[in-house]
Amino acid sequence: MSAAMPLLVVRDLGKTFVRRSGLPGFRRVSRVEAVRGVSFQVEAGETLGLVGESGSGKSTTARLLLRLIDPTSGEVLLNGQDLAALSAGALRARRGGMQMIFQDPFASLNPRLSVGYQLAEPLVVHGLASRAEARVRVAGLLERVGLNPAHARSYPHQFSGGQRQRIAIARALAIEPDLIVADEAVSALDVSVRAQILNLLADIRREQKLSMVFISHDLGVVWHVVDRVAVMYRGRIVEMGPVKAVFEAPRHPYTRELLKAMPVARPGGRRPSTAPAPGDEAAAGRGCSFAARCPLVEPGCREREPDLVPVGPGRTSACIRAGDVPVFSLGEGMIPPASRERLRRLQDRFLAGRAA
Amino acid sequence: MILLGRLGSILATLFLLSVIVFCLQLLLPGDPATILAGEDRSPETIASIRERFGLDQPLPIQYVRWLGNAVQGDLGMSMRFNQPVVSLVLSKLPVTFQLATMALVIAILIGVTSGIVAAVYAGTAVDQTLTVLSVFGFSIPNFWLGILLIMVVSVQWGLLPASGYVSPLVDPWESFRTMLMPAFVLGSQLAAILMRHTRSAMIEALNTDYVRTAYAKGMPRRRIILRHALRNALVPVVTLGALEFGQLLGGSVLTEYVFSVPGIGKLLVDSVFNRDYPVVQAVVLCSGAIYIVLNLLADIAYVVLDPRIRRGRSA
Amino acid sequence: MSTKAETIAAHDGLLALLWRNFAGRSGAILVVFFILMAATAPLVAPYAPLASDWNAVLQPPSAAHLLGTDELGRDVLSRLLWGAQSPIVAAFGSVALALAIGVPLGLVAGYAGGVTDAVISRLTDTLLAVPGIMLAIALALFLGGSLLNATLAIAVAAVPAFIRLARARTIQVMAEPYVEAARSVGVRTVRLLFVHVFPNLVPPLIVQATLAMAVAVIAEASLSFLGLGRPPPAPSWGSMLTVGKDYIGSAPWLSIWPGLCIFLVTIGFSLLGDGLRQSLERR
Repeated sequence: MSAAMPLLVVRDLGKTFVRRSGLPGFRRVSRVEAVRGVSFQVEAGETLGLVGESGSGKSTTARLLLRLIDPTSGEVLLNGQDLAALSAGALRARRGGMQMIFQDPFASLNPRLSVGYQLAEPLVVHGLASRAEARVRVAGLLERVGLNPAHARSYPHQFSGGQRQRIAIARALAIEPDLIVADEAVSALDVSVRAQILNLLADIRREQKLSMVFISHDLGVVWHVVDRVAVMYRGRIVEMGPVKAVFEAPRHPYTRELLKAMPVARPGGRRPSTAPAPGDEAAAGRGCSFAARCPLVEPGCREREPDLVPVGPGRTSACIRAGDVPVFSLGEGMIPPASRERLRRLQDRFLAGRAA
Repeated sequence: MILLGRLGSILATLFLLSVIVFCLQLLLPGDPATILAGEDRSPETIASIRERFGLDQPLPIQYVRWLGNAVQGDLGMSMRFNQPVVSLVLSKLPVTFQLATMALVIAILIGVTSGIVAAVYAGTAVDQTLTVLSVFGFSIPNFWLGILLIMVVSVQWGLLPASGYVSPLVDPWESFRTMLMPAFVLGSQLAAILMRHTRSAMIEALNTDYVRTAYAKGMPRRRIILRHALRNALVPVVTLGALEFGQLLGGSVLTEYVFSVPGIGKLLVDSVFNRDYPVVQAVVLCSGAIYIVLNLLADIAYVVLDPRIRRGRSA
Repeated sequence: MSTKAETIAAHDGLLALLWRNFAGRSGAILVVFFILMAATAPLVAPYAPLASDWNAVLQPPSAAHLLGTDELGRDVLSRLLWGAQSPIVAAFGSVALALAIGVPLGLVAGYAGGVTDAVISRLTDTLLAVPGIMLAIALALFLGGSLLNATLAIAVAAVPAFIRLARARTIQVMAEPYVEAARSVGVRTVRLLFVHVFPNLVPPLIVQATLAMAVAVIAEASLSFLGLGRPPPAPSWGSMLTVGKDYIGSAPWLSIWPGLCIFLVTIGFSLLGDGLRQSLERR
């Protein structure tokens, strides 16, 4: 990688939600540390995946990146500029550097405004185009995402889920951001539509050299989309590294559990053991937050929370037994090794074909 | 513990209410001292009134004086009856209470039953008729309904007395007869509202899988309806709770006037005609306070009944 | 590329919404009828509303006076037609005023939260503690009897309900993803509220407004009934009932017709509101 400054630098990001319940004078205060000590970098043109189960803090992190909510600690630097230091007005202007695609295509578009209006809005708000110019650019955006520009006058409910997500992508692209945060952008879509949208995203990333932070709980999707991946658990990053390496040879027990829990689309395949549901609000102990569910747990784990340390080239992990984590094979015995190799070669060829 | 907090907010609301009521008199055109003086317009009387009531003091001080008196139970004197306002209002309260209770009972009987019937026969002519009737009941001005009823029931048929009041302690049957028409008029609007709520609650309940299975298993229709009717019919009645009472208080104003029932509604109307401002203020304050207190009682009951809330957090 | 077939476009005109179901249709017809009555009374009424014929006092309905005469020899029909003005003006005026005050307050309360919300909500709750008609009567009394003051009084009594509705809906809408999406794109507060939030408030507000008009009609009639509306000798249905009340046995026609008109206008607005609610739900 070049020695130039990474596009996005996140340092020690943290967010604690305070919920005050009850009436004045008899308040109960509960604190939820949604995000703790999260640090990562994204280079220009790179895609970082952020994975984890629900409640891991992924969506909160996404919103922290765009400053839709304010962090309790830490900083976010886009092109070297600390977003926290900006005034509200400058921040709004700077937000142009980052845009977001939301999960629910049915709810992320205002039902009472036309599609064209919502696409033009970012341009108008940031003063990048007059009304007339905006109309032209909107038409261009619609074409770019594969929709008919004549439909700018239509309303969201007249489109299908996949089409709406395309519109959402178009909206995110409107002010030509440097980085896109996709929060479960395809999770609400049918499987067939999912592939189309992912391809569209891949095309756009390639053409415009966009960076992306891709958030998902679906490892199968992440595998095909990202360059590097960060695994989050209970608000912390527990492992990070190139996606291929991390998925084939995980260095944190939680990553392995996630991989095991991936549903495999093969009839007769055994359902993997379900991991216990998260949300067990065990008192925040001093040790590793995963200790309660960890198959590799040992006494030392409960003493202090492990730091994220390097465990290989470009890889980090927050586990004191990183080296003991067994290798993971996709399908764990469900797909015979020879077929697995063949499958992998097919996948690589497919991806390479897309890049051409 | 939560209740203490509720108490605090109640006090805040009451305080705000008292401010609003106090400020009403600021709307009066002209000099308050002159108004209070009434007939006697001599400068000496006006000056002495001004001094006695502290009308030359700045407003916030006047308010505090007023509030201080109010808390001790003194809301001034009725200009018309030369009686302390508070005792005047309190003496009329039981009558209105009796009327409201009767109206509530009638409203529940008519409203809930017709709601159940409409739900059971949903979609049929019966349902449509009842729904139309509920729109009527909701839209008809209560004083007009009262006049019409008097016209027909009292004048034409001579069945019930058109006005007057007999205490239930003196003659319960006569009391019932005099109050029947006004209670019906008062309750009609509420009955219409209850009918609609009960109907939709019942329709929802009748469509649940539980009921459909019971029906499929051969449970007689009447039993299903009765079992579910009671449980679900009470729901809108309870949820509307204190709101209903506010409605009834409001409706009592004109209803009592038309039927000459000596409650606080009629007191309000008489005071309007007499321009007896302190009494009007007191009735408004009293009604608001009753509503607020009822709400508090309802909350208390809710907390006591539902242990989850009492613990402060649901499981 | 196909778009979903939609028989109901996102922005049906108000009229189309009204017409779609029976309640809406009948309600609209009734309301329009009475608006026309109020507007054309000067042209259509056979007699002047204040003209007394002392030879024809308390006459039952006849060829000369289709609905009879009142205690001052005035033609009931003419007074009835002219009397439509008060409730119509009061209904539209008070609700318009209540919307203009209540919706912004509710919006601000729902958007800002915190202390602002607490203050506004407390005020709303306090106003709601007093039964609406009592509040209107007290206000009309202290302000003085006139159509304007009656309209103001009714508006004040109606404001809290609109604040509540606007606030609740604003909170709902603010939680929707598209609001967050708009913010992420850089939309500022003012534009956010006007362009994104407010249009989503409109449907329930319209329904509430029509129902509030129904209540306002009854309120104006009640105030007139107590002499707190348009001062006599101006004709209004409520004040006609004040007189009629004293002649229930001898001249029932004095009470039947004004009350019937109040009744019909109220039903008209109620049906209109119901019809709108049904149309909007179906979307």
